[in-house]
Amino acid sequence: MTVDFLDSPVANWSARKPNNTAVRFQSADYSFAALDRAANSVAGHLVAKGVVPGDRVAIYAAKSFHTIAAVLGVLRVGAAYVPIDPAAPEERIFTILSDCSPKLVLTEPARTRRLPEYWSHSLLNDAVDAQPISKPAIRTPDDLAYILYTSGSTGTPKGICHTHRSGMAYAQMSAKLCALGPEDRVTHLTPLHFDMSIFDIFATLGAGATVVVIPEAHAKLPASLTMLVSEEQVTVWYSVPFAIAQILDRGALETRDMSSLRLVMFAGETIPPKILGRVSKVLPKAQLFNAYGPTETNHCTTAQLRPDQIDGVSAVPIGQADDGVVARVSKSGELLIASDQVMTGYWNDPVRTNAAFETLTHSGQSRRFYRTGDLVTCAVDGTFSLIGRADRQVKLRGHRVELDEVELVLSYHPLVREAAVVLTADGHSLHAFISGDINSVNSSDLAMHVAAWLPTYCVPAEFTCLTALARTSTGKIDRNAMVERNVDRNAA
Amino acid sequence: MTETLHDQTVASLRSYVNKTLLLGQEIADDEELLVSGLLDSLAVMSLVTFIEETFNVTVPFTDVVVENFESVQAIGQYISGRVSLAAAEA
Repeated sequence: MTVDFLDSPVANWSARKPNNTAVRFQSADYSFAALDRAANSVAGHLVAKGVVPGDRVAIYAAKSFHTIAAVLGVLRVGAAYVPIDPAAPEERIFTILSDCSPKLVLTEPARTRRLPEYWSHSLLNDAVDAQPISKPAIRTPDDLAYILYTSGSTGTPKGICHTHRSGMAYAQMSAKLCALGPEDRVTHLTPLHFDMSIFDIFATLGAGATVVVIPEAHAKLPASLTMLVSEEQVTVWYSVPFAIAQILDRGALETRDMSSLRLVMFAGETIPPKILGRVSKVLPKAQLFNAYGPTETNHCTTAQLRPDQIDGVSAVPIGQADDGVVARVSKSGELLIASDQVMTGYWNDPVRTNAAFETLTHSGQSRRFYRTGDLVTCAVDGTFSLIGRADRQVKLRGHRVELDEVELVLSYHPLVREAAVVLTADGHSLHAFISGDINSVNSSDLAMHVAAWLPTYCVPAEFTCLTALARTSTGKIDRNAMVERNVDRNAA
Repeated sequence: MTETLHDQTVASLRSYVNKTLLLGQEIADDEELLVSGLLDSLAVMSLVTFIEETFNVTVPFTDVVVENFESVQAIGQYISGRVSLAAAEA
């Protein structure tokens, strides 16, 4: 039995347990046999379209059973898949297409008009019905499997390249970490272009478990989302903290039975302690994991939280290095990661790739470490805690300020739900964006609150209260968008 | 609710969605608002506030579900139902 490739477990499960459910989507059941067949059909379609090993194929569609079949089909012809955010503006779509030049875009009717006319595309509906291939292309585990584009702090998209080997290393590690088995039903909440989908799809299917696709509309409507989790008897939930915060506030939880959840895992950004405290009250029986890891490394440290670590106030640790991960702290306090699950590099960008890595000797061997840019502390038992981003550490009038620390302190305020703090354009003061009970909160209370915890130079000079903080399509806080909107508002 | 009143509701809703939430992009009444990636979860919250303030109805969390919010048409029907209910109770 071969498990060298990201798509192999589906073929193996299809042979062993053809009728087990691989995917649930819109109340329909798709067996491993059906998924395997659909993947081979997509592969057949791609071959007919002239896609050859080494090509890229973009997937530009809202997630569904078809997108999962497409991911597997692209891999089976020896090509790499490149997911494009279904909500991306046309300019970004164009930038990604130009950067990695996919041979073909797999898409759906509603989106074709947003693609450049001269770019070849096929409809997923047609691809999943095509004449299937009988066996996958000849490949090696070091072949490129997927490219994920992130904006990065500079705004220019970076294509993060993972191979079958790095993807599999992560899928196998995380499936074991979460003890996934055929009885599990795992959420697929995050869009395909976000690295958390690697867990949703490959860790889940690798373990013979069921992927429960959360349709885009449900992901935006917390009351529908909780109903789906309850109806689908989901056992494992994986999301950014924001998704959980939304269902706590507007998920109508008092009328939903969420007791099927045995494990709730967060990643993507720091979880506010207050939210974690509320989650543990609402889901007292579920295990709570706080996972950490940039797209470049996949999630690589995990805190398996004990009840005493959930007091609603203390910053939540990111935990210990996962199996197969070597984590070190540099002299400047930056977390460095070496592991088989680390990316090979940035697409077509050797300069940026070189800058991201550092070769160090570990246990007598020379190893390549990825520089995460995250500042951490490490306790004696090897538990890491995030201090902040190296690039979120700013100099303010000569003082070193951790913006993430100011945000954490603001979130302790009883009327504040979330806070995002940035350095003003002139670099002389801090500007805090606040969401929460905005009618009752005022700037001087907030300033006094920060001053009670931190030195006065950490107190923001300006506060903007919003009904909610701006978010990226992956649910992370979008600080740049709030700054831009604020400038626009002031200019208007 | 009469046909005309319902039409007015849909018109004012359509105008809010197109002008405020979609910044001038036009969308058909039956087009799927949430699947197309046009509206994010924050826009949904603004939309709920708009409905409550404009039509003087309350929108409980349990009503903010796919069936009621998938398109301008669905939201219009939902509002008309709430308005009739409020009138019957008054």
